[in-house]
Amino acid sequence: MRIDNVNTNRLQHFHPSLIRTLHLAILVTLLTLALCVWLAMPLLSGIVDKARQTSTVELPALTRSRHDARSVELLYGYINALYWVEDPFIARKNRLQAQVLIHGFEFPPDSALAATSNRLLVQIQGLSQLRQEQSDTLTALHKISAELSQPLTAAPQAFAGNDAWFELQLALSRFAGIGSELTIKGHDWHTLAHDTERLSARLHDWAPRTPTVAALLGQQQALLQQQLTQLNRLTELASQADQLHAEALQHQLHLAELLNSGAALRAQQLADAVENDARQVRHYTLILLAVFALASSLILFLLNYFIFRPIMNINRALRLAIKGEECSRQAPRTLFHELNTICASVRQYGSMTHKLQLANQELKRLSQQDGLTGLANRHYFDAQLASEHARACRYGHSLCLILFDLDHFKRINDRYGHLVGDECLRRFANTLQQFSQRSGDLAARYGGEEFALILPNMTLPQAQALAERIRAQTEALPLEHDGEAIRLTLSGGLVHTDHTRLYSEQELLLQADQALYCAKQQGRNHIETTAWTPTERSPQLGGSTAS
Amino acid sequence: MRQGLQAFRSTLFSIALLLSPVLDASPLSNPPLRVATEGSYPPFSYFDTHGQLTGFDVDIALALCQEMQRSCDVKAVPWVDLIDSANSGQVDFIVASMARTAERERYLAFSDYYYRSRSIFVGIPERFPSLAPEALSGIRITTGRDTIQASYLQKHYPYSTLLLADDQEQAMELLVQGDADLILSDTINLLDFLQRPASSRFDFIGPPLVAPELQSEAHIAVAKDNTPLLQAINTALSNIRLNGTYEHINRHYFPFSIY
Repeated sequence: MRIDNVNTNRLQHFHPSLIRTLHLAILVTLLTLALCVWLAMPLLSGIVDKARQTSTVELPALTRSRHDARSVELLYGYINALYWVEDPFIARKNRLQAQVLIHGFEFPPDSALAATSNRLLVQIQGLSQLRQEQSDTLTALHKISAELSQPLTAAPQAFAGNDAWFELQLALSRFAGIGSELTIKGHDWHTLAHDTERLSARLHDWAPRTPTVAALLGQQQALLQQQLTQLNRLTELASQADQLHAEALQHQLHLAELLNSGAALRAQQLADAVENDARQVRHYTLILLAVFALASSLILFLLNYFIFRPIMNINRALRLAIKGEECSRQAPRTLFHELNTICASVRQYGSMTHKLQLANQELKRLSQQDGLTGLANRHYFDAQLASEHARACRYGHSLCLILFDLDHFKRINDRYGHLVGDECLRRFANTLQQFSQRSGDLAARYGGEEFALILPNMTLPQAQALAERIRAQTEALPLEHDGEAIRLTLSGGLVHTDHTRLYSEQELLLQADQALYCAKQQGRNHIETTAWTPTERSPQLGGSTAS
Repeated sequence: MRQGLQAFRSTLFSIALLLSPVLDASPLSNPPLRVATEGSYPPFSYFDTHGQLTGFDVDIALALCQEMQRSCDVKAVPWVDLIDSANSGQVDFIVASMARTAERERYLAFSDYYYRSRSIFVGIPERFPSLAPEALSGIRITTGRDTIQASYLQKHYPYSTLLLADDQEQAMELLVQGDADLILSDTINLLDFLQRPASSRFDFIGPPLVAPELQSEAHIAVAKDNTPLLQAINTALSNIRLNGTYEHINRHYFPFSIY
């Protein structure tokens, strides 16, 4: 109710156009929508972009790096196989596969990955080459061993039984045996070289003591020297291979580490970002829905309060106006200009209708009333008589009609003047009015000094008593002119019937007139009665004289 | 209301009718897809000891057909006739380690790539310390006819003698017999060659070649206007990559991923 007051106060001065308000409301709605779109669109396109980036960039990168990582793991196997495998055919196969594998990497050129993988390739090729050299050296060693073992069969007889010589020959043959069994892996080349050196020194010591086999010993010593060289070479190659192997493994590890790209992390971050954006969009959507729900409730309320209710009020006011009631408060002012215009029109229409109705009532009154006495006029009397007659016919009740005529009224007029005459008429009319208070009773001025009284639904004795009282009261009217009392009497013709439908109103009127005539004939100041009953068609005249 | 429901049902029915060619992909109702491969490009497509056509390309083709829920009929078509066979509608698609080139794209449409490889020279390494065009002047280089390697050699090695073989096997034979000094081909194909006992004296020479003409990706090809099949192949390719079928086939032929 407080709102009502506030609104009413504001309404006094503020009357916007309904159309403009509606336009404004639509504009505000559109702006709100646009705002939401403006807020949501970047987020949605962000989601789309991120999803696309995830599926077209990060996931392939992830797959690619997973592949590369697996390939690098394979490289570990290849490097170790190259290092451990003795069979040159298998080693070559491994090296070729490793090479194609590394060739298959599509690392961006000039990147650390490309550099590392290239270096790794070089090392793998180097390792393979070292193995080849080792293999060649071993072949040479085997050949030397074979040569070393040959002279043993042709040992000089002179040293038969010599333990030291025998020991030397045994050492030589054992050495040749070792040499023929040598493989790339699993030998202490250094110790072998040391032993070779010692054996060579012993041969050197023996040479002067055994001139016969000095040439043979010298030959064997030379072979041992060759073997020593090969062994030293093998030692060197082995250490190189070990080093290269270690380096290659290190590079392989390094490559594996380099391959740990941030793709997974980036994909995760993108997914998080997408989730965040989606949450935000959901948030905005919920807010938007809430705002729209609130706004629609508010708009419904405002529509009801500012438009529908005023329209109903206007409608009610219009109906009241049609009924002709005064309606200054029926169509209150409203917020909107257009409705106010309609209100004003309705109000105008109402007041006009009211005025018209007043004028009509006045006209009606004028058309039914006698101007001097205020009683009904002849015209109205005729209409009312017809109506009461019809009513009596319909309901079967009695009807009584009395005609009065003021006795010698012309004399009063002549003697005291018309003004006094008029006053007499008015006073009598007043009297008559007092006796016609029931509904349906009508007192009328029938002619100049003739009056008529319609009394429906009244018994004959009652009617007669009433007529007599009127006569008596009229006679007793205290009229005077210049101190001289004026005596006013009347004659009356009363007609009464209990069976109204047997007689027309004209017949009643005629009979009343005749009764009045009779009354005049009988000396005036007298009421002559005619009572009709169904058995007697002709009126039954009876009289009542003045006292 | 009843009438409305009926109208709704008939609408649904007509939509289902419209969609039916898309939805209906049962292998029974469709004729088998005809697939062409080369047949002389080990280990991608070759005839095994039982005379059975097999290889990476063949298995990929079969996997794709299974993924597309279609039956498949894979046959070997000579390399030089492959493009025509698809173009004339004799086969539906080609799985033959084919690289995408502008020239081939005039007749064929290519799928996404299904493996990657590089081009490299193979020969006796000691003989070729340098691979510069001038250094290979007069050297006999062999490769397959109508291949990207052939175009590359024609363009970049004008001083060398180019020996065009009908297929890779023939080119390798030329090298082994000593009728050619060098072969230029795909690394994975050559790996298979180098691992044979007969080719132990040969080796890769130099790094893989880097040139825009020598794309490193192999594609599946369909006739130029057969877009629906191409899309189906791309989807199937993506599916077999993701469901592990591809990986399985890859491991069967190669020790490492070639995707």
